[in-house]
Amino acid sequence: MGKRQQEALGGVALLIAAIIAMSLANSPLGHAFEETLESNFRVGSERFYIDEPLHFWINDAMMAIFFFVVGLGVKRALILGELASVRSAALPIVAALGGMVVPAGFYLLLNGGGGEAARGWGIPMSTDIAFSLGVLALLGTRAPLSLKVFLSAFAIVDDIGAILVIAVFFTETINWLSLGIALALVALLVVLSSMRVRSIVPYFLISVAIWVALFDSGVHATIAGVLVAMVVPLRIRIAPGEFVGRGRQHLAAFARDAALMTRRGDLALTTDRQREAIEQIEIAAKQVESPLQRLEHVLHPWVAFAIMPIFALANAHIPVNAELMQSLGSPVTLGVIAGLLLGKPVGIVAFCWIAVKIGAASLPPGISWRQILGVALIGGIGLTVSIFITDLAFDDRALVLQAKLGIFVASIIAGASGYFILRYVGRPDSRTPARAAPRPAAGGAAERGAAHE
Amino acid sequence: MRNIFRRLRPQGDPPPIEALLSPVQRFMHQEAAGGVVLLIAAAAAMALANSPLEHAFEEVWLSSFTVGFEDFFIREPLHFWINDALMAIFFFVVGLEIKRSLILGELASVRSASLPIAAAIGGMVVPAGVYLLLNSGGGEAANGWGVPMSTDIAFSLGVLALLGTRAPLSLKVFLTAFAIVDDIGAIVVIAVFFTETINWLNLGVGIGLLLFLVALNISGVRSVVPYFIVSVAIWVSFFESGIHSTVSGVLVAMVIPLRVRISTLEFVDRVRRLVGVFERDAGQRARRGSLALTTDRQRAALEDIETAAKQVESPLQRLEHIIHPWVAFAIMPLFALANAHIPVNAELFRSLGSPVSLGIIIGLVVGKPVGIVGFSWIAVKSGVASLPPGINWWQILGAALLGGIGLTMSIFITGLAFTGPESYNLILQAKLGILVASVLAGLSGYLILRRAYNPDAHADADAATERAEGSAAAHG
Repeated sequence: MGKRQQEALGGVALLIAAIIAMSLANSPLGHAFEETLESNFRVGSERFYIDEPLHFWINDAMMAIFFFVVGLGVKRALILGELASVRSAALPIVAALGGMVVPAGFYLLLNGGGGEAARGWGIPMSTDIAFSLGVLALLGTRAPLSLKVFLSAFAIVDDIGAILVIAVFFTETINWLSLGIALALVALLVVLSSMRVRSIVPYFLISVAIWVALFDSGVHATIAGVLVAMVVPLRIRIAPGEFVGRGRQHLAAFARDAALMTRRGDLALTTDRQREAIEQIEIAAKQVESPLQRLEHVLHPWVAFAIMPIFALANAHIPVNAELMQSLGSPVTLGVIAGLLLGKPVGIVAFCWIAVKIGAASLPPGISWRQILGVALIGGIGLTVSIFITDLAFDDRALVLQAKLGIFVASIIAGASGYFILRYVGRPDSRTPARAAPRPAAGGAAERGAAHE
Repeated sequence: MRNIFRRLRPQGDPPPIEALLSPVQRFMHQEAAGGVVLLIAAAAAMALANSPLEHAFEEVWLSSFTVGFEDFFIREPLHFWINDALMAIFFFVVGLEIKRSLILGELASVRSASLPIAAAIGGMVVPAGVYLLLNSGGGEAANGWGVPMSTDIAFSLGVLALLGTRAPLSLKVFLTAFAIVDDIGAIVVIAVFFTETINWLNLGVGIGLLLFLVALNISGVRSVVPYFIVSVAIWVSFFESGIHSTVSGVLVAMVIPLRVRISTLEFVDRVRRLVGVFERDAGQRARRGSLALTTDRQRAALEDIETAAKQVESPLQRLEHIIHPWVAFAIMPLFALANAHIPVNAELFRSLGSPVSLGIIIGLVVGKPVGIVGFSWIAVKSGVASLPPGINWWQILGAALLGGIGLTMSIFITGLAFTGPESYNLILQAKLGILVASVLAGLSGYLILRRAYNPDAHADADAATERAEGSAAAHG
């Protein structure tokens, strides 16, 4: 599966899960479905245990893996990727700031009355990076690579913002002892990795312990995923040249024993030497890639095709009834819609424009302001992270429903309008040489043809 | 660029963990190592059980641990999670070994399998008989007949390994083979005799899930995660069915394929080509110092290399090699820690004379060798089987004595056999018997094999066996 296909398919899986959740919530099974999500699952001994509803295990435990992968993306981008140099990072950072401050402001304007509703200002701040990239992927070659880089960069900064909001604003009382234990365990992970412990098992066990310690500390447990991600190394252990050399050497050792294998038809046993050669090849393949990138690639499909759909299944159930239609007019729903649908693009485009005009940043080559507007709209797809923050912000069920309604309405409109702008309006009249170079002749036509394949 | 590469290559001093672990790893590669770790764990358990910490130590194993929903959960003491859950992994590896030797290994041909099968039957029937003779009074004590039937395969091979070249390869093959048949016997005993009432619905669910594993396998699912999750579900349904849940480990092992997906040639060709693809992109990756990102093409090449490495080896063999160190160095020592604690006191010495202790000691130290040698002798004399080349009857006796090391499996069955009101004392008596018998059997087997070694007789025979057994023997 290509990377682009995977991105688009992840969005499809998420949509299907959300639709299933919606239809279940509005079917006769709705009640049983809710009850399942609220039934407690317990793990632990008599004195030390976690006894929480299924809903918690999905939102706080499985989503820690989601945030782990988010953290890996953030670290990669900061050190070797889109945010590594000040020059290339300036525009997305400014864009993300605008895309967080303005929507939160819009929301607070509409919910200034105080009370619980005001706590929802973090909801329209977020961008669902996977879903936005999925929509961009649907555009195929119509979306230039530099636009994708810009979108992932500002969405990553947006994620950093969301993580800070979760860690700072949705932490009530902190148990400093547990937090200290969690940090000490993170330090232990660093020690293990600097001692080059290869087996994944100790890292996994310690990470689970970090999660438990953070859960106990009062800081949201998913932050454990981000913390652990920060200490996953980007360092490779062997150079590509050495990998190639080792690979060939062990391959030869493997081939030498081919005649000594025990076999009957398709059934076969390798010799000890062959087993060793296979193991060495696998080890070399692991060492030539950084643990960070490896983990990102290994976990990504699990997040896209299992964790996010399950999250949607557990969180996207909104009973459609008369009450719901009324709540479309509620300040929370309106605030979320206004924030995501208007605040996001206004904030992103305006902050970018100011940054470019004062010379702090420059537009990526070949990107027009219309295209910036298009991705800014796509950035208004809040979905996963917005729903996640909704659950943290509100205890009141009615407010949760209003916010979710707003998130769905806004995300659909934002995604669709962003898509159409990029598809029909966003193309600059004159392609810059950078883009046009690979297809010098009938560039536009050829590209249109390619996109329809 | 050359500088970067030079910096990446380990120069002279190995990385810290490797400097620290390489003696450890060398140790772990030795066959005897698992036995040593097991002994240390058992000694630690004994020491703790006889220290002031005794009470706290006992309490740890009895504290219960819960997993599950309000109306569907498993709440059991830590002891259970080790003996019934972790040991299911132990039995999974045992099952893999059984399947491998039945299909491609020591038990694959009738000719080579008949001697170890006869030996194992003798080594099960005679000790059980001896035990029952001494415990014929009925009552709970009679339930322990399965205890002296077992052989601790890892531990006996470990003792054999201590003999180095003094133990010919064909003797190791014989010991492995009869110990595997012995394991089959133990599994049958666990499944048949220690199952009280069967909940057929749960058993059906378990078997249905097992078929589902086969279906996953046929449809080419490669990721280990679905198999793991389904296996956990199988374990739960067996636990609920009344059949001992460790049996699920054996059953799952039976459906793990020995089939390889690509031939050796194809593997070599494919990896060679992929290494070339990787090399071509080497100049294009983002990097700073030793921090580096691979390109998408490189990533894809690495992934394909790893896939090929998995396909050229059968899942069975791969799993066996991956899980084996975990079983030898984590699960079995934990099992020993949780089960080998015997308080040493005056009462204990008195219980050495109890019928249970005596039954086990005589069963393992006398019954095993008598049964194995006797049944083997009958099989050879009647022409059903023949002695492996270069092996004499003294060596068969030595291996048979090593088979009297019951340890892990015997202790495991002890926990199943004695569950009644007298169980506390009976279990202590049985464990005492197992430890005493295993030490006696191991020592005498070692000494006999040492004396029986005749270098001239083995030089030719070893070469012949090596050819005949091919690589299969090297896997034991």
